[in-house]
Amino acid sequence: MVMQRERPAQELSGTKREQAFASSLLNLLLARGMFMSTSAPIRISVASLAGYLESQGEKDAADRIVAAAAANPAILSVEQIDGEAYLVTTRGGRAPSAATVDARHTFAARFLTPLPKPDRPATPRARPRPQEPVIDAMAGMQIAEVEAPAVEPATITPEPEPAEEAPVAPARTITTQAAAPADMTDVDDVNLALAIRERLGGDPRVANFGEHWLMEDRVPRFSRGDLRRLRDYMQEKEQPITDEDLVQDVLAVRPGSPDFALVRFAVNYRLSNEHREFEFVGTGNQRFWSTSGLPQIGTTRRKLNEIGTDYRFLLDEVPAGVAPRTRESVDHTLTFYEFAHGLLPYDAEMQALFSGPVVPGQKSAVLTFECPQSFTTYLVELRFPTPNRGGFVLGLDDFYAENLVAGAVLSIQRTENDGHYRVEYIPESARSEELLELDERRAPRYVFRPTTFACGVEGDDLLTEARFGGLANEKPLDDKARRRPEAVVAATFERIGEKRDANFSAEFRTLLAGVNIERPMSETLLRSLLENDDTGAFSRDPDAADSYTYVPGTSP
Amino acid sequence: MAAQDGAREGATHHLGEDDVAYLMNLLRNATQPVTTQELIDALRRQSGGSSGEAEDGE
Repeated sequence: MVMQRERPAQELSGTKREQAFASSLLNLLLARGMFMSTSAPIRISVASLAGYLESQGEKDAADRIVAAAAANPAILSVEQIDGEAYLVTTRGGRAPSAATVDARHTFAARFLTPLPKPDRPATPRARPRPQEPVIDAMAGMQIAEVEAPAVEPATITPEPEPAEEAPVAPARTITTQAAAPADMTDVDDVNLALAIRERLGGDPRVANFGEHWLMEDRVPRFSRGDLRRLRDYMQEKEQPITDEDLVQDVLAVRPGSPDFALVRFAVNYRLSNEHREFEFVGTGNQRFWSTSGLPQIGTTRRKLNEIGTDYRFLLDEVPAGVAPRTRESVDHTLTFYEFAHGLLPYDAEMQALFSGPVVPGQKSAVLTFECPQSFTTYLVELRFPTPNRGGFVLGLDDFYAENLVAGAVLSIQRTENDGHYRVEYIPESARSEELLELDERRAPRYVFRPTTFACGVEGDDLLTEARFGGLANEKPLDDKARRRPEAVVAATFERIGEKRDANFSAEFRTLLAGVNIERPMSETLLRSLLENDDTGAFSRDPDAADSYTYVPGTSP
Repeated sequence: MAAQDGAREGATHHLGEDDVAYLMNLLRNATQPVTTQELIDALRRQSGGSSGEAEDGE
């Protein structure tokens, strides 16, 4: 856009000739300061102007310039700079007003004349100490009033009394009870941890998850959208996810960032309060979270409640107070029941190996089992015992099917991580045997099939056709019979026992392996059933070492 | 320590009010989660420091 520069209309004083002269001066000044700002002073020396004007035919120009400035003080002014006179105006057509420069504080002066260094005290300043806990100082104080000594009757000559005497208050002394700190040298860490949990665990101001504590108001909160994304991620992965993965993959916080530990704690604490949507299924070191709609880990051939009921006998056998993670490793011989369903019993040995629940009411824990021999890691689930169901581990179906047979010996070792375990078997040269299987193609039946395996086995527990041939083409027992351990023992005698007249005899180890085809049964439980049978169905076989007999027709 | 243990057995030692106030103060000043073991160590330090001061005073 082009704008025409308008000359400011100025009223010049004087005669017409003087006005014309002043106008020509103004024009000269404005031509010089054409591109200057409106209020910037435009200066031309009087001598220079006079020289020019006189070259244009004006006479006595210098005096007339000074006179014109004097006649128009609002428009023109004369300044003396270094002994030379300058005619001054501005582009706005006004004589420049003397701008007062505020030199009290300038940026340059600030650097050139710095303030002297503040004097520091000789002793270093004390660090700010954390606020001391507020303690009710009056608590435990004993306030005792000290009685004033009895005044003897006055025998002194009375003196002139002062006009007013202030009443004397009785002297009081305060005896404070020394606040002796609780001596904790005799208290072990376990009891101190319990005491801390007892006092801080119920305080709503304190957030706690597992072994970590923080003030509740410092724990980051998650929006409903965040919680939905966490849930969706688990459902997309179709398996429980650790808190670390959730923080990294969903909340995009990197492990090296300073907030990682805080956000990780926030995930655990906040999700633990979302009971409807999320369930904690982890351990102290490996905190898995689950949500609804995830596929079940492990076998689907049998309901988890039914398996728990099968293991109910463990509730009576496991002594109270088994300390978790007190064993380094456990060796275990697989039974047929465990092999078929991919299970391990959560018996006393396993309870001493695995870690217990981290949060109150925790139903299960997802563990990782690493098999270095097959370079495979399996996700398994430890179901904790309930008041009427035993605990067990499930999810080892693939590991068993790929590497082991019923009767194989495996070793489970703990690692530094309480959620990660190493499982190994005894590698041996491959051999083939006719081993028991459950054929489920039509009506389920037990069959013997040639099986090649390359793992160490417990000889008595290997279900070969030579020793357990009586099971061939047998149907599994119905659930009603399975629920009664005595009925299972009786049926096993009939299947695999050695028939003597009307009785069946079986060696204990063989009987134990046979019983565990149908349902889990410990050595203790089986021995108890055989020894404490009041009906007379079972009795010790006097003709063979550690053998028992069963008399059919006697209802056990 | 597992939750199971806490449920199974109660604490034989109980924290005093000053211990609880000290722990709360510790947590107020914390910007990252504090472990139970760190709280235990802090309690022991406080107990040791206080008893040491008391002995010095005597």
